[in-house]
Amino acid sequence: MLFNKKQGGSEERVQAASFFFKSVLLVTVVVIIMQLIRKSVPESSLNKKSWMAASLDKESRLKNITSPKIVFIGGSNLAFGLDSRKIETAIGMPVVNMGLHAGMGFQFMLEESKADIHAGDIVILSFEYQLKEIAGGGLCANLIAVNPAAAPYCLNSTKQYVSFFAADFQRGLAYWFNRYFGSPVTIEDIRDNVTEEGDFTFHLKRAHVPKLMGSEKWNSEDCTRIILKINEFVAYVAGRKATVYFSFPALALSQYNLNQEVVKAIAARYEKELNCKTLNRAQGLILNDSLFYNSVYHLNGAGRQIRTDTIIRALQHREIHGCGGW
Amino acid sequence: MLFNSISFLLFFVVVTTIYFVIPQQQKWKWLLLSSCYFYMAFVPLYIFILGFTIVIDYFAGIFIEQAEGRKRKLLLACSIVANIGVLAFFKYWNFVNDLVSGFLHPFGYSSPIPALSILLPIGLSFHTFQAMSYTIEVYRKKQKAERHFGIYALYVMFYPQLVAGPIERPQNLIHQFYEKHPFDYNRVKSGLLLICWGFFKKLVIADSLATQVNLIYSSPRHYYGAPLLLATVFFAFQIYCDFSGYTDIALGTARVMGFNLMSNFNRPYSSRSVSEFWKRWHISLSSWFKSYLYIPLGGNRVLKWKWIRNILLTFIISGLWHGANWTFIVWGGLNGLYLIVETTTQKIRARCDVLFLTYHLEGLLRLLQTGITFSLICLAWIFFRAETLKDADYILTHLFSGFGYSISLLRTTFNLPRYMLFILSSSLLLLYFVEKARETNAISRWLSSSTVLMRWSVYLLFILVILGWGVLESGSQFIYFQF
Repeated sequence: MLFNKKQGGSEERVQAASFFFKSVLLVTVVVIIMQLIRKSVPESSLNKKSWMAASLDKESRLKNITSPKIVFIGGSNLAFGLDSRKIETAIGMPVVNMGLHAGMGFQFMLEESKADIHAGDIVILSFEYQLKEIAGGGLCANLIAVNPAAAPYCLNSTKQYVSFFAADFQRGLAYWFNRYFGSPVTIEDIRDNVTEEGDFTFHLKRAHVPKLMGSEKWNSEDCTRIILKINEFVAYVAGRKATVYFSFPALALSQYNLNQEVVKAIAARYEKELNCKTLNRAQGLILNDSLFYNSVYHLNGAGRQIRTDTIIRALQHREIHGCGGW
Repeated sequence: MLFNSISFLLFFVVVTTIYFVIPQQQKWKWLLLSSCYFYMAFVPLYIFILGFTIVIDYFAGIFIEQAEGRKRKLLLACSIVANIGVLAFFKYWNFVNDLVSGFLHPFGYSSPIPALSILLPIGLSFHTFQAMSYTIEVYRKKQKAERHFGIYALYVMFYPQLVAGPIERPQNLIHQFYEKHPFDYNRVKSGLLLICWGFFKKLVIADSLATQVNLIYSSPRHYYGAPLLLATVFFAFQIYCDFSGYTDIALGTARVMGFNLMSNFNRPYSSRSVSEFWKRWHISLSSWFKSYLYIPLGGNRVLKWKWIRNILLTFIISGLWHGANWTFIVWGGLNGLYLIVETTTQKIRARCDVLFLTYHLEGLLRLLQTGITFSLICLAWIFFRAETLKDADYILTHLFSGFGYSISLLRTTFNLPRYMLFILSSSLLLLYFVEKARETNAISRWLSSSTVLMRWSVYLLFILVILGWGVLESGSQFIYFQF
């Protein structure tokens, strides 16, 4: 009984109906225009050598190499911070470094690799301390543009799809603006500087960027959800007769100093509540700022050797920590 | 639940639709329920804190109205202590603890007050002040005590203004909950347009500028000269667009349902003096402090030193209201100081003004006054935005260091694509013209006299601009939500 006569009569009903009709029409026109702009971006304009495009090679290697293998899952701390070939030689198992971007969220990271984990595999999770569950719409749009097969890992809810749709529209709009009003953009060739195993190498000879170190104050995070999801993943992987370890990421000392309480609290909960063992203690990879490139997680050449050696030692001697303790 | 989230859009559509469908006598219940849900979307448990102050002030209002003489004052004091107590506990406990620790440390003692790991309930300062304004107005006999508990609770909890104001007075809001608000096409349209304008300010301007401001202000010591100066000017526009954007969304949301909330901003950066700025910036808070603190302290009808004390006290407390940090206290104190200097130099400045007017340079005088006021306000914003006093001190002392050379660093520092520069500058221009036109209602008049095609083109373009250029995915909190 919409707007009955007691509530204001027929005029009110007519006004409401007119408003409803016009709103639906307006929203429809907006969605159509957005869709047209999304679809107007030519295929040839896509940057097939971008950071996100590197996921194509990583996913392909994960599918094609035989088990047993070592799979690293996480954000860019892995992409920048591992020498997978060294690990491969030391341990004698092929390595796939799936690390891409922390902004993709842990849902994507865990889902992307799940189907290709087989008996005998070792999965090493290394998640950044501040990690969202779902990917940002912008990152999703950039990823799906170059790697449409990644869509199911990114878009699991209507909310995510709406966010992706809007971000993809923005990507389309940015393309047309850049084409007519933009300055020439130098596209960095990242994909060609990724090793077969999935390690980024373009940064190895670059100078340390001090202004990006240790400046962001983190909020204390409730990591209940991520722990739950990791434990679900551990159970799934165990069902496939593979093993999961957790490895704390390397973190710049300045950032640690600024966020000691947050990092300690997260590390303590992980060590206590994860149903998998940890390969290293969080504090063991709090490294000097000079060992990082352009972010508090992105190790440079020297830094990644330290981290790689830590992981090799842990895997070789199974220096694997149990629950509890810092 | 943030205004700039998909969840809120859905919430707004559902709440508003049902609001218009249900019978009048059920509307307050629906609004109260929706407001509870809205608040609990942040931290559910904190609804009890809000409930506590609502119960206290509801009964305080009734008892104050019934009481006489000293008892009235005592009851008011109890209500104020309860409200301030909650605010002090959640907002200032750890600040006081740090102060005590800092004081005792040189003597080899540690603070006897335990540090607490507590999260500030969202919008606490806002709804506490709104609740206090109710009991004070009842005490002053300017408002009847509200007997309907649900309506009183709704006055404190009305979701559009619950977390960041405007801080309403009971005389303006309570009676509106009893009135009928039938569906009115033009009112709903005007509310929605206001919401869109709020989103434009928040998503297109404030959040785009926030990226640049955060870059500099998170590690200011890596910069000097022009980048620091530009980041400060950017912050001035960021905070205006962020807060006034929030206010427009709040006002628009309420207007759609037929409620009129008080205006909070009136083109503050066009002020020609700091005192004028404070009449145009965060009007609901400024007028709160004026009515309930500055004037009860004696206002300006006292000895000069007492007036200076009143001004400084009001502004320092206003600074402290914003946050438990020395940076906010200095920000408040500095603004108070500006007002004192402005008032004491009034005669000298009036003589200078005459000089300009003699030579028919009124336009230049206006520009000069606006420019100086804006610069002073920006200078104070440095303290508001900086993480620590040391950072603020660094920024202040390096604003003009190596200025000539630092200009050449702007491009690499901010690294904005050319089209983003175009978007930002055109958005700021649009902001100026639209806000100016809003004063005279020129836009509404122009829109209603335009053809349907023109009107729809404007709506479409505006929505596409927000969706196309807005920062949609960060879900960044409104700056004033933290207060």
